[in-house]
Amino acid sequence: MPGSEYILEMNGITKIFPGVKALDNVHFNLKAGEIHVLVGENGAGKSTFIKTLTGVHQPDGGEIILNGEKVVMTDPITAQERGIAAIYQHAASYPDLSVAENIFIGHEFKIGPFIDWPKMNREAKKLLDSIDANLSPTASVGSLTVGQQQLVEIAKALSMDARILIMDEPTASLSQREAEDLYTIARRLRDKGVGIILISHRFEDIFGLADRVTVFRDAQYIGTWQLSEVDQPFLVHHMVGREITQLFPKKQTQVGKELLKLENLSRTGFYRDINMTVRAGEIVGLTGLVGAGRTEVMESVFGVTKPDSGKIYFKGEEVHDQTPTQMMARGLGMLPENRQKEGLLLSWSINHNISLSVLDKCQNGMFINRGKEYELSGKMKELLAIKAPTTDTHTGALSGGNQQKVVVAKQLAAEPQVIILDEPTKGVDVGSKAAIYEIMSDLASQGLGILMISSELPEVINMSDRIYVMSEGKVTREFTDTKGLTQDDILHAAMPQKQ
Amino acid sequence: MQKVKSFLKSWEFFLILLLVVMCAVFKVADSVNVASGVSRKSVFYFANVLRSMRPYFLYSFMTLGMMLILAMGDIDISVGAIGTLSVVTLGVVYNKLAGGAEEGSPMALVAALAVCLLVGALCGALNGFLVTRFKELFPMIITLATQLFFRGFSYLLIGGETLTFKDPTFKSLSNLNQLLKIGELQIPISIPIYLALAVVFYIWLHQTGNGRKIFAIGTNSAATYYSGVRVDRIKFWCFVIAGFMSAVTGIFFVGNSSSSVKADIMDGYHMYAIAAAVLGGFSTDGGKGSVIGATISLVIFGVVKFGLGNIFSFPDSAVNLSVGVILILSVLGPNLLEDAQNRRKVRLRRAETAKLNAAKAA
Repeated sequence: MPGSEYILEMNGITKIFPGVKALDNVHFNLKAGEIHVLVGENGAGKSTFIKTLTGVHQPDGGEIILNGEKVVMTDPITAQERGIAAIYQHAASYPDLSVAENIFIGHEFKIGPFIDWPKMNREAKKLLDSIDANLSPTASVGSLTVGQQQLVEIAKALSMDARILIMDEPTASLSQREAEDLYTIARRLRDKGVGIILISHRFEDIFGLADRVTVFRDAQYIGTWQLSEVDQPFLVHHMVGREITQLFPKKQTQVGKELLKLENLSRTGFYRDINMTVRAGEIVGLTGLVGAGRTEVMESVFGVTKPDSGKIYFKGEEVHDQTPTQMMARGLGMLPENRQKEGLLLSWSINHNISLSVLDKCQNGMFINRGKEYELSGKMKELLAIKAPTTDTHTGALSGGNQQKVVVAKQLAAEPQVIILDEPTKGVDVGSKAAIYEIMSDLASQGLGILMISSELPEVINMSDRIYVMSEGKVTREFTDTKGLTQDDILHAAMPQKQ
Repeated sequence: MQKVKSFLKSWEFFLILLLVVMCAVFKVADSVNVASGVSRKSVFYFANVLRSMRPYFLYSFMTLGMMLILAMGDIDISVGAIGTLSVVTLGVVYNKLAGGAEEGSPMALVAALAVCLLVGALCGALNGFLVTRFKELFPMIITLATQLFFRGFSYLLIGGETLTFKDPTFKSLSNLNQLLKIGELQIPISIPIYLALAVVFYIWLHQTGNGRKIFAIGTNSAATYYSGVRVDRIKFWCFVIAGFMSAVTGIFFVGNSSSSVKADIMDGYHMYAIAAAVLGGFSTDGGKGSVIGATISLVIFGVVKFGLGNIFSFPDSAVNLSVGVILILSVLGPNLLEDAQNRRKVRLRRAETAKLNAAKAA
């Protein structure tokens, strides 16, 4: 075998779950000192594949060759001992423990049965310094930003002397700036000879960072290329299996009257003096770094939290004591950022999820009318092209993109006039992304006002009619014209101002 | 066909099966007892079991309230103490109003009953308020605290005393524990009352939008809140109803305990209420369970206690122990079964792929 140049080879990996073939004879290899990105739509089998490597799942066929030696990853501990470490999108493993504890969990420095705290904190500091992470080893991980938590996870991987580092959508919850920092660290690790397997939906990650790319589609291996040989449409074509002609199908719409207006809205510690408007037929982008207070403002508008001062006008009427129930009745919908936690009841069917927000419409008196319920959800399923056998399918079994469509359907069922979308395409594959953009465009052309919170600058620039940029709890800039706007313009406004 | 299939897989079907198996075991043991001369005559026959169900259906009303709480993914361990406090107030109020008249006073009894139910509902309201206001605290801890509070309050009202009522008006409460004669059968009055209420709860929980929302809260309360459901309001009222049902249970208890009231009359009874609901398919995870399942579970507990006590002559403590064992086994059983099934499937598939691979290699 001419496999000597690879530190890892995985050949013909097959994994069958009851009822589904999750991986069908797929291949992957990794050199020392390269960043190899693994892409594919949600459900293509990327996660399952990683789990066969880390010993979480046992493959039903195929071989794993590590440093020229055929190995069996019996469990995650074996994988760790062989120098394979993984960091995930939702990084924090033990939010209540300190940074040092998180780094050395499972292999603490000990004196007899007791933990050697000074040494552990010292070593943790050394590791953190080596990746330029300015963190205190004694800080509790829960108090850090997601980006900082990722750094802790990387330090943890380094502490185990990982030769292969798996990064599963590491930038999904990061702001642009934090992502840049992560890129720098990833490059440095690569230069030290670590092999990095990157999983990402973001083309900035793919083209900005990776050396080679492997595409999976529908549990199958599609191909591996040098990134210098390929471009974005090529990759999209292979991931989706069809041509996506227009990723951002923005329609020109008639902008109507003002629907939502915020006047000097403030909440101590979260945001202050927020002035914003959303008009009918308009898509308004709200961007900024993670932690800038974007979600917090909109949660107050939707009635989840209470602002301390300022006014909210909806359709020209001032709103007091808002609650989600009341705001939805007025015609405001909100798609929360964390769709699995706040958007969906995963163990419930599509049908039940969609009707939950509009049960009153599906009732005869007090009693649920199942006919009406199915009619409504069936209509929504068709309207948004939710891919599922029937509306009785559990939402937990759907792909990320389709789950997101169900959350959108839930809000649309209530026939809102303004809809707030918080990171609508986060963790969604490119095919579904295009579908969601199209839905947004359609809604706007029907006269809905849309406010989209997003960290993904390409979508902010290409989908919005107007853009607000927030930084440290304040609106720092409003762009009324998005033509010719560059990511740098927005980033400049999003950066915290140095005193 | 589809319906039959899903029924055969349902938890209710499992419970019915469990009940049938138990009945069969008890029937055989009973016959053996008679044949070997250990007992004079057969005790395990329908009419006799039905008649003896009375004590086991006392806490059934509490179970109805507990179902609401469990469906929302919460728990209320103060319901026993609420029942106690309610009947203690009942006794105290009745004593004040009737003033020790020999005949008693029907008006006073009605008023006292109303106060009793009101106290139950108010105690539930306190729980509901605390649970919805202090979301960072577990309902388990909150209701543990209120349980102690309600108990303490009961003692504050009557101390270690036993209030006994001899007048015929008050004694009429024990009618609630009499047997209804229909032909040959003697049915404890609590059973038809329970069934009527259970039908109401069934329709509420499983047929109305409001019931759907209760299960939604238990499945994912954050997502339910974002769907525009008034989560806190529903929670609050469910706790109120649970408290109210405890007071109802309390009234049945007074009749049962020869018309006397003590400050520990219902201590610990919340455990039976929780146990029946859990065996019925409810769980502290919330979002599941059915009124039918809980009803069958009440019958199962009744039959088990009757059988172990009267046929196997177990002492009371051993009966409780056995009920605990049944509870654990039946709740764990399906999980273990599913695990085993999954493991078997995976093994089979793996063997299949191995064979395929071998064939390919050859």
